[in-house]
Amino acid sequence: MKILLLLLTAVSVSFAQAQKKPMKPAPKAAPAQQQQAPMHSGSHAAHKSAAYSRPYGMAGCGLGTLIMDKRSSQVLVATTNGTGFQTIGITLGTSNCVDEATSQVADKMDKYIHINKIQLAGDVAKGNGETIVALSEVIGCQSSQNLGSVLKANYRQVFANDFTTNEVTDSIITVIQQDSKLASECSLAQI
Amino acid sequence: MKSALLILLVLSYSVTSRAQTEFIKKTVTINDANLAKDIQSLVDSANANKLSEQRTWRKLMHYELNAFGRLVSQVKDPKFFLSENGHRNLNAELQATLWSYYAPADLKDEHAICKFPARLSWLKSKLLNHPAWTQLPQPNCYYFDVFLRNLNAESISFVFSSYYANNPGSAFGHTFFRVNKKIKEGRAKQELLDYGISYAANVTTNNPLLYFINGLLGGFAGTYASVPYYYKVREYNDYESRDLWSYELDLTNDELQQMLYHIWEVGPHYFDYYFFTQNCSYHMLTLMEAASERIELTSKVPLYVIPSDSVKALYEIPGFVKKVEFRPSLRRHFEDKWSRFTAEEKNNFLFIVGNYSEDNLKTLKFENIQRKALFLDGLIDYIDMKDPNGVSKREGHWFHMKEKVLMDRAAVDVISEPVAIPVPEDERPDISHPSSRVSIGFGENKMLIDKNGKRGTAVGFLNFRFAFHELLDDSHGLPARSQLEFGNFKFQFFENDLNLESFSFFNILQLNPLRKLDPKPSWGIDVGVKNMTVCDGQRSCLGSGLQVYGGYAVDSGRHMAWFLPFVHYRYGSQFEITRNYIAAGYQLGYLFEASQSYKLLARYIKEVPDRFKTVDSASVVGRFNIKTNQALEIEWSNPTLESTEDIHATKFLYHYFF
Repeated sequence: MKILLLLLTAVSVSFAQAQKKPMKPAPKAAPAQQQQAPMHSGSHAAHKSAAYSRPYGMAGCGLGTLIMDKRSSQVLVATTNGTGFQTIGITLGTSNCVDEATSQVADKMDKYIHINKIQLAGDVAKGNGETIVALSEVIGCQSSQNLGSVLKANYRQVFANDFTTNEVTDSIITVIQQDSKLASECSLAQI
Repeated sequence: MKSALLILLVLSYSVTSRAQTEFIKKTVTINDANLAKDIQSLVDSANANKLSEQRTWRKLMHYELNAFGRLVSQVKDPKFFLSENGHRNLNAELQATLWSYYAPADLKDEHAICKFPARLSWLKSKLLNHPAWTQLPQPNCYYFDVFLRNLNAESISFVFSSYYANNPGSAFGHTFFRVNKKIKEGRAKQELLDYGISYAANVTTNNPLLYFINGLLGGFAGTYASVPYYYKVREYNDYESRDLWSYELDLTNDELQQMLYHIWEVGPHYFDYYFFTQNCSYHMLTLMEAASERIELTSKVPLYVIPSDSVKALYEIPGFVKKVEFRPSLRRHFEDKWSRFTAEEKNNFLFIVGNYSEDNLKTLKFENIQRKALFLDGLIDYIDMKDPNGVSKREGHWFHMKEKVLMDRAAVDVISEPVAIPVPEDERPDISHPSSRVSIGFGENKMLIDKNGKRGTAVGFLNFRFAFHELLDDSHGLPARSQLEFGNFKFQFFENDLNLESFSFFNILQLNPLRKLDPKPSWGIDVGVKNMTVCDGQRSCLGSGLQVYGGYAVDSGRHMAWFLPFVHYRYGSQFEITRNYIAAGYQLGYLFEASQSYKLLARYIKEVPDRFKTVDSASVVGRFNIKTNQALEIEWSNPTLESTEDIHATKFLYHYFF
């Protein structure tokens, strides 16, 4: 009986070991996001300017590393599945993804907006909230107050459709550039 | 036989000593003879000071005793080691590390100085002023610099994500670090832009059985990850509606730097992930331990590391926790708004939630636009809470409703004011009771017949529970309405015999009192071995199997009651009639909580087996949790109410939590 138990344990351990795969760095997909730009209605499209530049650095994460498609759950794809067990991780280390010092504002905004989109849309509709304050920090605005109220006034343009993350970023930049006060408050110098 | 063993021993020793002379994986060639002499002198003083035997070196290398009593590294990735046998030889690794620091600087990011900065700063501090240090190469550590610059660390907080009963894997809570950014002058702190450092298993299977086996036996690789903190907030706070508690650590600048360096050097390498022992909480503790001599934590927690126990371990170091912060879940945000609704607004809200249409929403009258804004804000929170998955995937009824509600809200010319949700001090995880429990007690059991054939005998009780919480336990810092027990043994002692009454492998009970807005069923499952009453005259009548509950609960203030139908299956080799016991029945329960510490639980159970006699049983238990780690309990129970004889049992128990 004991031998049987021992054997069972040995088998299951070896099985468990066989299951294990060494950690792989997250695959680096090309930033294909920019190309797909399904415009749902002409009036919204009219406001959109050309995509702002996003030169992903040599180890830049880009959005590609999040292996997202439009239908996947944004938060869960990108991070652990809540069990303490990780599905896709952005691991540390030289061979992996670190935010490049050179990444530009549009790139930083993409990453931020991609994960915070749901909460940001809510906060923009309300005209205030933590995600707007943090966004103003990402963009480099002097305060978040104006950003909140201007975005709120332009809610439809930014969020009303099934826009991709890059489109939302581009709209926000456009909204800022079209508002003279905001444009002077926010240091979009690198765009 | 003895001599053969001796020869073997000598042989193995000679093998290891030879190995030590050629320990480095990649030979570092030092052309400068003087430099080589200096490095050798550095290595010699490290040896003379027995640095490789020091506690911090062991912690930096993650050496711990393994299951076979050998001191080896828990890091399984060979890339973490610079010497061939670095995973089991601390001194070889130390020497290899010292030599590797003098490799040519053009290795850049692959240079040991860039890859193992925490080892370097510790070795420097231990071999102060050695001439060899002045000749260290200066490789350009581009990625390491970027890492530090991005973190821009001011301090580190230990974060506890509260319990999430919907997923057994996170029912105990979860822990990770937040690296707090330095705040720019004149700006406010933006927690979202901080970084989160976590440790998790890379799951390679969808099969629940394999998941379980692998999780238990270390079949998954565990790795650290660093992501912006907003990922954590969105996942835990919003998607799963869990509160986040953070404990800011009182680290000196050197400790902070050393911890970041160590995170960098161990971060890319994998461990074996063990769900109960070397889990997310355990490897958070080991990161802190590597940062400083004074930080000793893993010895303060049981072998199996429950996240809340790891939080409590922080308090074992006086003054280690500088500040406690609370970040309320989405649910709390919603409940805050709901509590500010008038009765009429609440009715309207219920109506809209049940019968949403743009027209229905338009017909609602509001006192002023501020009230309308609050109403819509509540609705937005509610939808996010109701269907986080649909909202995230941008599909389904609730998502489409939310799109329109957001548009309406944007059109209301009111800027929502930020709200401060009071900190629920009673729920702080650090004040919860310890998770292991041992209990002793005595009582009388009239069900049992003693040697002389007399009914009723004195019995003793001895219980042991690995983890974690039951309804009657003190609910400070814990979800009051759930129960999650793991490895619960109950023994009964009578007439010089110790008998196993029950062993619960795991036992979950999740009571969700019905709410108009969020009616959720209650459920439970109990898997294990139990002494049954279906063996003729046998005292030990063990049956293994499970019981699954599903029903509803209601509550009002301190009172809660529930009705839980269940199915019950057990297999027992000594059962009469059939070895398979199958039954269905229901449990009626009532819990009165005079406070979080004083509780009364009454239960009535009717169980109808297919081949055995129907059983009606009842019990009443009073519990006095006198301290966080001590409790008294008194229980009256009657296992078969319909019996004409009086066969009740009484029980007095003393519980000790540790």
